Order: sequence, then C-alpha cells, then structure tokens
Amino acid sequence: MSKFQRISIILLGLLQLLAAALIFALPGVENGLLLILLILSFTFAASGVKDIVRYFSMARFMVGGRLILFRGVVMLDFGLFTLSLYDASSFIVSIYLIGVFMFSGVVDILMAREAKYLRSSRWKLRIARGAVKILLGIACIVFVRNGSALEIFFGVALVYSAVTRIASAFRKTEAAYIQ
Amino acid sequence: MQLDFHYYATFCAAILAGFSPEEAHATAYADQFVDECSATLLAKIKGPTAAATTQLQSELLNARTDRSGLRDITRIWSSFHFLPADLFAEVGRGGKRYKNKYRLICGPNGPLVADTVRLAKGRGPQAAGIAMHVLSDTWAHRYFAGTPSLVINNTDYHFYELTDDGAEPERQIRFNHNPLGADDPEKGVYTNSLFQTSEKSIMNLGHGRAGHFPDYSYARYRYLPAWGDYREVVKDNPSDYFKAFCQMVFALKYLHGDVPEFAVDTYDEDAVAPYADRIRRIIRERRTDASADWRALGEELSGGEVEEFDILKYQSEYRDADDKQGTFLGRFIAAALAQKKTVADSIGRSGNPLAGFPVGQKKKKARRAGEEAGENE
Repeated sequence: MSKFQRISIILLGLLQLLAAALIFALPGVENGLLLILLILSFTFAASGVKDIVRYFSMARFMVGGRLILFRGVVMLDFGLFTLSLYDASSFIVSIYLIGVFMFSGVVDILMAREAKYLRSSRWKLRIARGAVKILLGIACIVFVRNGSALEIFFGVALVYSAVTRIASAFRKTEAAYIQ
Repeated sequence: MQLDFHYYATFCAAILAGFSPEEAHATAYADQFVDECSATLLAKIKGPTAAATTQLQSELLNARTDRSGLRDITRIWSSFHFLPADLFAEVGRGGKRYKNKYRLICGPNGPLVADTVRLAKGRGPQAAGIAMHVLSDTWAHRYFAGTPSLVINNTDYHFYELTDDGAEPERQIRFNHNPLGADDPEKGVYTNSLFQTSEKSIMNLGHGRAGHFPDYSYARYRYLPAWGDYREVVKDNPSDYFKAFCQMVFALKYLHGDVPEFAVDTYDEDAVAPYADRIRRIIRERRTDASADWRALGEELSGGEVEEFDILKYQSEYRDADDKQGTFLGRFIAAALAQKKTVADSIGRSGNPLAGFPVGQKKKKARRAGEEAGENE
C-alpha cells in the first residue's frame, strides 16, 4: 500500500471518529443525523465523480464501458439526493440512514459468502462486519422514536466502521523494485 | 492450459525433440510446477517467496491491489502465464495508463518469447520446463493481460462457442459465479470470476472473467474482448494448441542443441507429422482433462511408463538439503527468478511501470528509456 493510500484511509477513519465524537457531544439527535447525512452525501458524490472521471480517462475505450458512466451518474445523483434530505424530518432521515446501513451489511455478508467459497481467510471478518451492521440497524429501528438511544447506536456504528478502516491501513506491504 | 498439456503434452514434445525419458520427465515436471509454485508452497519448503510463479486463489484474495501489490501480481502473471506480445504496441487511443495496460496483452511469437527460450538455453530441464510453460500459455492466454484490469480483461454476455454440430453451429456460453461448481462442456456452462466494476479488482486478472474456458484445447469461440473496440475476436484453440505443440518441439530442439538458433513463428511440423492426426484428435475432443490420451501417446513415444505428476516429489529433497541450489527445486527456483527478472526488466525498460522499475533505474529514467525505445521501433 502506498503512503498516500495509508494516509487517505487513516484520514477517512479519523473523520468518522470525529463525526462520532460530535454525535456524542452535540445535544439533539438532529445534529448528528445531519452530520452523517453530509458525510454520506459527500461519499456518494465523490464515488460518482470518480467513476465519471474513470469513464472519460479509460473506460470509454472498453466494451460496455458506459456502465461505469451510468454508475457514476447514479452515485452522483444519489449523493445529491442524500444532501436534499437535509431539510427532511429526523424520522425520515433516520429511516433512510438505517436502510443504507443495513443494505451495506447485507452486501458485506454476500461478499463474505463469496470469499468463503473462494477459500479466503477474510470471510469471517467480513461476515462479522455485516452481522454487526445489521444488528445495529435493527437496534436503530427498535429505538427509532428514541432520540438519545438512536444517537448512541449511530455513534457506535461510526466508531466501529472507523476502527476497522484504520486497522486495515496498517497492513504490511512490500517494496516495488524488481529484484 | 492445464496439467494435461503442461505435463503430458510437454513430455511428448520433449521426446519428439530428442530428450531422454528422464530429461523429458524433468522438463514436463518443471513445466507443470509453474502452476504449483506459490508463495505458500515456497514458505512450506523454506524457499524464497520471491520465486513464486503463481498465486493461489486464497493468496490473490488477500493481495492488496494498491500500486506495489499490483506490481507483485503483474510480475508473476506477466512473466509466467500472460507473456506480453508487444510492449511497444501502437494503441492509438487512451492515455498513458490505458496504453500501459493494453501493451501487457498476451500473445504468441513476441520478442519476449524468444528472450524466454534463449534464457533457458544451457540451464537444464527446469529452465526448459519454465520456458515451455510460458511459450504454450502465450497461445492459450492470448488476448488477456497478466495484470488486474477491467478495461482490458473484461468479457460480457456476447460470448459464443463454435461447435461442429450442424444443427447448432454455435451456442452462447453461460457463465456462473459458483467457484465450487464444475464446468459442464456438454451444457456449455462454465464458472467465471465475479463481475467487479473496480478496475484493479483481482477478479479482472487474466482470463478470470472467461473462467477456465480459454484453457480447454477443444474450445472454439467468438467474443468481444474489452479492449477490442467492439470488434469480435475468433479464438480457435485446436489450431492454436497444435501450433503451440509444434513450436514447443522446435524450441526444445534448440534447447537440446539440435537447432542452432531459436526463431519465433517457427513450428517443427515435420517431427510431429507422424502423430499429427492423433494429436489433433486429442486436442479436439470435448472434455476438461485429456491427460489419459496424452499419457498414452507419451508412453508410446518413449517406450516406457510416464509417471503421474506428484507435487510432493522434490519437496523434501529441497527442504532437507544443505546445498539447496543443487537440488531439483533449487535449480527451478533459480530459473524462475531469472525469468521473472528478465520479463519484469523488459516491461520496466519499455517505460511501463506496471511490473515495477528495473533495479537502479528510477521512474523518470525508465519512462525516458521507454519513450526512446518506442521511437526507435
């Protein structure tokens, strides 16, 4: 892993920790939700822009490369849609965020299943990550009307995601010069 | 290609080239061992993991696809399984990053094939076996690159097998993603890697998106390669595999000292002629493993038994030896390191950073050298 990639991953993890700290520190669930909404919106939009750039730099020369363009446009649109929920009620925002979070957990479990078939040692970690996300999602649904409990669960989810992300940045890699 | 061609067919080619049965066994063993010599195996026998000639699925899944991880992957797969056909190919579209990937597309009769065979001269059956593996894979793996790349290696639903069946001259290949499922040539169902939109996903390495289908000698198919600008490619494995066999016989005669110089695009069809019909039949038959027929031919040619491939055969000898370099696997490892260095150096000196930079040559210098070499082409 290059230094730039390590730094990027650590910075993203630290940003998530900061968001979690703000959720715990700021009174009122609305502030925390809006913060998460902003982060999510930025992430979706950045992913969309990245795909659009990739299309114009490489994927447009590839058979079926327009799929990358469409995905980029949809993700960018998703990012803008997420941002547009800024003025919606905290109930709608909560439901939306819980849906996104649980969907991400389901994707983790599906990937873990594939990794297990392919005999990767990482499938346990992936399935654990997916299960934790779904459990936290269920807890959020149960306490969706309880603002302070919701804050705690969103905060815990962010801390969990940040810690696993930062830990992955310290994986050892080798030098690239030909021997 | 698989064990049937890399082991038993190579044994037959070595006998036809004039090798003794013992030499032919050693050459064929080294050829197949290229598909077995992973970092995991080398760690087990306490060998240098830098000499790995392949990566297990589990190793690939754990491999990082950052810049240095990708270089490790590319050095292994481009050097031993997807030898680039033309490092200075005219691409005519795309930026430098796209061109670098395009220029790693594998194909037969490129300058690196000649380098590979010449490098093996005088280095024993281990180096000869490695060279035969690389040479024959240039036929089986042509049109795919030994680096993870969606824009080069992806395939889609437009993938048709051409059959000899008059009622159904072609049928669409059905790919599925269950790695535990066996390929079914009768129904035309094959396992492939999962579609991942990430450019650098290891699912997009080599012919993973087409599964093992390109490795079957009977396969004739037409498809749209991701790099092909919507132009269809027709791949005729029976013809290509026969050429690969004839080219192996010629190359092995060179390594044996019966031919003064190795030249690409040269096939020893005369030596193969008495067995040509039989070999074509073995290659054309629809099945996933032709080992039994190749083995029977090998026994007929050599007049003795052809041993089964045993991955453990030389491992304890290497592990327990004081002088490891003098063992069978010690010589294999030395030859593998030399091959990897030669190919990776050539890629680096062409100005292409995907396999790393040659020792002592920094990025800018390598790029300049590549540009100059390209201008001189």
